[in-house]
Amino acid sequence: MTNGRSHPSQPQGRGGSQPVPLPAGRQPARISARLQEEGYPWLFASRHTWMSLLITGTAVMMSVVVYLWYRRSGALAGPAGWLGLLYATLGTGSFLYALLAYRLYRRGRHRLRPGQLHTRMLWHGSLATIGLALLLMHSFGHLDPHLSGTYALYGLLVTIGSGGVGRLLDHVLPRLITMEIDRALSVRPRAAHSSLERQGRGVQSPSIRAAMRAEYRVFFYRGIIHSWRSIHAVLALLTCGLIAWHLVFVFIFSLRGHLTLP
Amino acid sequence: MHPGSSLLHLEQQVAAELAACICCNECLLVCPALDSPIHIRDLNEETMTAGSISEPIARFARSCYQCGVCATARVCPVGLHRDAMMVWLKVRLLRSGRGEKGS
Repeated sequence: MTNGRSHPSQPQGRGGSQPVPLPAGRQPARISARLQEEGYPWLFASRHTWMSLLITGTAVMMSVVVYLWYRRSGALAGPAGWLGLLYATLGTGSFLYALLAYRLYRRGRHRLRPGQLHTRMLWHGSLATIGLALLLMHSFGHLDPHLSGTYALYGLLVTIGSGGVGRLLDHVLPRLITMEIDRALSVRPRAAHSSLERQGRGVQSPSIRAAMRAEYRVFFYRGIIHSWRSIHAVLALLTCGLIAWHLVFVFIFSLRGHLTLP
Repeated sequence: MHPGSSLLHLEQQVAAELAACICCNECLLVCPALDSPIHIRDLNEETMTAGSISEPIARFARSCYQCGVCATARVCPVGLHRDAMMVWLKVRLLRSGRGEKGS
């Protein structure tokens, strides 16, 4: 940066507005070319995103290893086995924590620091994915359409799938919005201005029509981003209902003595 | 104003809103795309200043997915549109990727 501002990594004083003076004799670090960023690629991921993917992958792999070991040991390979119940508890806990913690954290924004909500959102995705993997293994392949758990599992698949698609849309649509706005702004200012004047006299130039089309598309893309989030929230609520139905069903089933723990 | 003309005046709108920003930081607090703390004064300055964009600001601009939480009335006390400012930064990044300078 050449405008005399502080270095981005330079420590900030309390409140962040005044840079902390460097010790005597020390010069501020030169800003390398690496710090200057250019371009807007289609796909990109932050260091935190890679870290969350690594944690999710490790947790899922570990649970798969335990699952395979359990199946080879010859123990009861079903949802009511001890591993099945353990996975059910951990998976449901992960899913509910992913759902509730993020919602509650967003509402209590007075306790937030900048950047914390992003970390919470990454945990939201990671825990939901880990929960889905655990609950898939909890089923041990028993996907009977007469079982309440099957519907809960399908609900989970759809909800977490919609979250994944939403994350993808969050990458692609803002870039499409940017491209549309850039295209609209590429209209020569003088031409745009004169066409606005003509439009006032009832004449609409191609440049204004292009800008209008761009604005409608931006509106459409933003609508998808917002409505997809609502769809995801509704699906999560429906899945919670299906999980509750499954838990009640299992509870009643076990009270009648049809479900025995090993 | 004609519907299409608001896009054509994005730069002027962003400049006017940046001048009105009171730097309360509320928009950054509620942002789910911001992955590391940045100072709002730096963000405001780099949004309009011609030239290169620093790494944290560029990363933030790319990560912004236009959810619009920052622009809701209960977040910004002076009713500004941080999402429009972020779009302007995105446009600048897009143009810089094509080698256009001074955008």
